[in-house]
Amino acid sequence: MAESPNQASFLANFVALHRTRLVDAYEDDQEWASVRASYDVGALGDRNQELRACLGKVAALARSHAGDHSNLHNHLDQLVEETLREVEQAPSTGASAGLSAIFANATANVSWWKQRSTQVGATFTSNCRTCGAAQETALLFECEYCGDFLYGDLREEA
Amino acid sequence: MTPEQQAAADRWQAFLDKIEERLEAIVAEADAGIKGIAAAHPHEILPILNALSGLDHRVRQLLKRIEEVWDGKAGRAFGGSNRGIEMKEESTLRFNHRWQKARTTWLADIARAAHQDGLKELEEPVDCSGCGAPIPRQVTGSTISITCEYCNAVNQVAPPAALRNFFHYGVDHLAEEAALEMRHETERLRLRIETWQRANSWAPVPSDHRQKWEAMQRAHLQRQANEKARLLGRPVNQDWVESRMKLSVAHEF
Repeated sequence: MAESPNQASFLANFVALHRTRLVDAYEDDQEWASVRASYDVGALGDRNQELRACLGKVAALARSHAGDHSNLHNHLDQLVEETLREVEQAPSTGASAGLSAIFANATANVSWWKQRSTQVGATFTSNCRTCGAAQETALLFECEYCGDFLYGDLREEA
Repeated sequence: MTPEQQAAADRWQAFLDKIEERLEAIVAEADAGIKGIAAAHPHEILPILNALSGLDHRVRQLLKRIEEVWDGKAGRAFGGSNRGIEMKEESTLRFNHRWQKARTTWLADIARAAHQDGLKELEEPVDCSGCGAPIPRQVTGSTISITCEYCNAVNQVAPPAALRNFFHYGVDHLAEEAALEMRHETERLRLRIETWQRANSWAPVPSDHRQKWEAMQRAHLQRQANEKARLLGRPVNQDWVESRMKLSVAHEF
């Protein structure tokens, strides 16, 4: 098969169309079975594995015609993993009632908060800023060893 | 009702049923979504509240649709009959109760899971940040001061995130769940009273009806306060019951 830029463009479109078809069907229980079967992939009990098999067939077919178009080969190398990442990140529910965006937005900032909230330890001891001794009586903020205020005098520091 | 009004009632009922079906679809989809978020981000209430906020908006849009259709055309088709507006009010109440039930159940389930996981996490002692000796933990949702029995250092010991969520939010959700059916029964009675008033040219509410409603309203608020107190291990907040009671009487009558 020819290896012209047009050929590469045609193959890229071919792959994109199949990818879109598979991703769209992925969320729909009824549609998925027939789409999967059209790629000659049987039921494997795990939809991700089935999607992987379907994409693998699309990639293999495209690769056999891709000649030495390295960009296209790179794209095909990543096709399966990138697509799986995309469907796994997308909310697996809410498609039919149009709630996908709600669930996607709901978790958008979770990692940001988690990163900050988990930096705090389960225990914390106040130590005197003068001599380093630990606070020994709750709500007593004068060091029991050196008598200084546990947190120093902020007015003096200012 | 005239045959024309009956035909209007049939069409109106079909529309209201459709709206309630759409709510069921939202509940079904959201059920999996909320449980998915809770599983993926355990003991993080923020994404759950974010999702519920978005879902609340979607649900309000459906309710708004009922009002738009009623104001636009459906209301006029009933002529002088009250049947149409009664159907609207009954459907709206069912709709609100269904959504509250779903919402409350999700939040209560999350609270139960937080309690269970939090207690499990408490079994693991934390270390004194002064000397590293193990410090026993307590069932609380707040950071507390515990003195290390080895080095005497006062440790500020934070609760597990699951328990913090349980005591700060979860107890309210569980208390709401415990009183929800009583609350809905009270609201159904209120609607029956309103229907009677409408049919009787907005006559004053008979005192026995009002007393019954007040007794039911108080019972549901008391149930909620009692449950919260039980979960927190604290005395019942009777002031809360009285202030809510005062507000609801002023609002309803």
